[in-house]
Amino acid sequence: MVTLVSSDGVSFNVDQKVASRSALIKNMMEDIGEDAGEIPVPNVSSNVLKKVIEYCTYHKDDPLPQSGEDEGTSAADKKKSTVIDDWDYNFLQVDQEMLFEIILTANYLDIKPLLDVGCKTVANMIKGKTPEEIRRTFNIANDFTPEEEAQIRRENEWAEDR
Amino acid sequence: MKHISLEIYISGSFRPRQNGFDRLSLKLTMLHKLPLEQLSTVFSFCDARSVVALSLVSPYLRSCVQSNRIVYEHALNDIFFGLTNSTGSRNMSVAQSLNFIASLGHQVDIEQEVNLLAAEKISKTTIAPFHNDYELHNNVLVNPTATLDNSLYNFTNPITQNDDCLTWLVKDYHYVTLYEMSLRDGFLRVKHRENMENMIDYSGTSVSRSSQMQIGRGHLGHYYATNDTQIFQDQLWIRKKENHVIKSIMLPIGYNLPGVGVQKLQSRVNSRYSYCRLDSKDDSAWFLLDWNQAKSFLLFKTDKYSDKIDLHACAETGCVFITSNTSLNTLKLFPRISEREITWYTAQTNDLPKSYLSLQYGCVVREGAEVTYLKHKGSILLVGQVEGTTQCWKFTRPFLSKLDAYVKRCLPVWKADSEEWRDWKMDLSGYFYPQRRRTR
Repeated sequence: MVTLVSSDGVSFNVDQKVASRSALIKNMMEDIGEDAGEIPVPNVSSNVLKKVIEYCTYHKDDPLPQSGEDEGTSAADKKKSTVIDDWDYNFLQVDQEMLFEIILTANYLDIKPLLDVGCKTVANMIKGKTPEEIRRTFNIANDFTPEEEAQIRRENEWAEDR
Repeated sequence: MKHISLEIYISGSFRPRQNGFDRLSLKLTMLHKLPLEQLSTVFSFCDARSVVALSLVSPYLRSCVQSNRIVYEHALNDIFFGLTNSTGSRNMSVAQSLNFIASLGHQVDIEQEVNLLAAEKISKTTIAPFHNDYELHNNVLVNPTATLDNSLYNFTNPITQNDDCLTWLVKDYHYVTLYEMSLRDGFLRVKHRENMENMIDYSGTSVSRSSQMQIGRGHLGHYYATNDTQIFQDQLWIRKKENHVIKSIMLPIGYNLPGVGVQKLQSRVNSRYSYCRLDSKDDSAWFLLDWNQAKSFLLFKTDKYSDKIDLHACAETGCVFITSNTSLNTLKLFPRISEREITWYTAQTNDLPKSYLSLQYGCVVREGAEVTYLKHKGSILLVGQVEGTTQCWKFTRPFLSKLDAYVKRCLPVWKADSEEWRDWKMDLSGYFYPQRRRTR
């Protein structure tokens, strides 16, 4: 067992197999040996860490992604499916703040499958929406300056119904 | 018990947020808080349309999207040029398409546009010449980085219309590409692309030697034609081979087809009519060819081998538009011909309010600017060069209303035989030929 301590001091005892879903923790455990003891996770709050452990527990038996499997291919080439399986979909039915924290934590702890499914969820929230709808979905202000808008308008001059 | 700080352990790999974003994070939304690397991962899961839409959300997201140059260019190509195999954009409904387009301009009434398009699809009837009840309601996006063929050494025909599509050539270092812009669904597609290495220069015209489709541009403009339609010339006849049937029209006396390689002088209206430029010893002239009657009708004369005037035929209405590269003053409109003779009216555009153009459309069309017109369903597309940049403007009903009002006011009756015919004579067989004036 390994004990993970969140930024707000909450301890979580997790199986090493579960903790190993994080490449970061896995490497660290390999470096320091069996007696890993308490591992502080200072950038992650307890509610987020709890969610991430829940994910790792459910997926503890999944094959680990090979390191560097996406390297060497461009982002355009590795066009990926945005299909999310049911459990992951339900798992990520959280508010945007939590989703954001999960993505950051997945990146921080190097849990690639969780990072991918988090980004897929964001991509699915964007898909099929107009810029204005995206602004509404993510509460983004349209802060283009008049000059920038004029530039975009020039670039898309053909599109405008004058 | 060991206490190990993950912050220290991964200090080399942890990606901080963007400069200043931590401080503002409470006010920023999720998309703005995500570090660029995670945003890039999000982009990699987005379809092309979403990527482009994201680029229009905010300056920060625009810069993020554009910093992923490959993803961004891929998306632009997918949406605007149909270059990729992605099926997302092609399966998009009209409503989605217009919705997306509207998001750029905020000026399209989606519901109305969809209804119009739907109605149009149901009843695709022939539109009477100069019918003014149609608006061109297709909006077309052009890749901001795309360059139209600015290398035209003359004005003639930088863009041509075939049925419901506009086509033009773009040449770059490696390829000559024939773009086709559908006026019906508003999409811009690559009709054909040929490696420059496969092109041969044939009397000034680039012709593909490897594909069935001929693609090129001579001194009368660019063209493309399949092997199904060919025009031949011998001493007296223009012969057309179309779908394995040969039809012939006798050349007007004194005129030849210019020998500029593959004959691209035919501007086809339908299976019956086409337009053709012929050259005599002294001048050139455009003729209407009626393949059913095997007759040619003179339209107008130009200077010998002149590139200053060009003719565009509207396949849908049968109308012809004459444009000049020297000014806006020589727009002429011809109605469709009757069975026995050509009747037309001419609209000199001297009185067209240029200030109207300038003020309303934000561009100054100078004398000498290279422009051309194409009319489609009551609108005119104007493509031309202003200060070295090829631009396109679209003029819809207000412009045409003024134009038509002017024409109706000044020419209340269509002239069956206008002044232009004075120097021409029809012989007994119905062929027109130039009547030389005797000089004293």
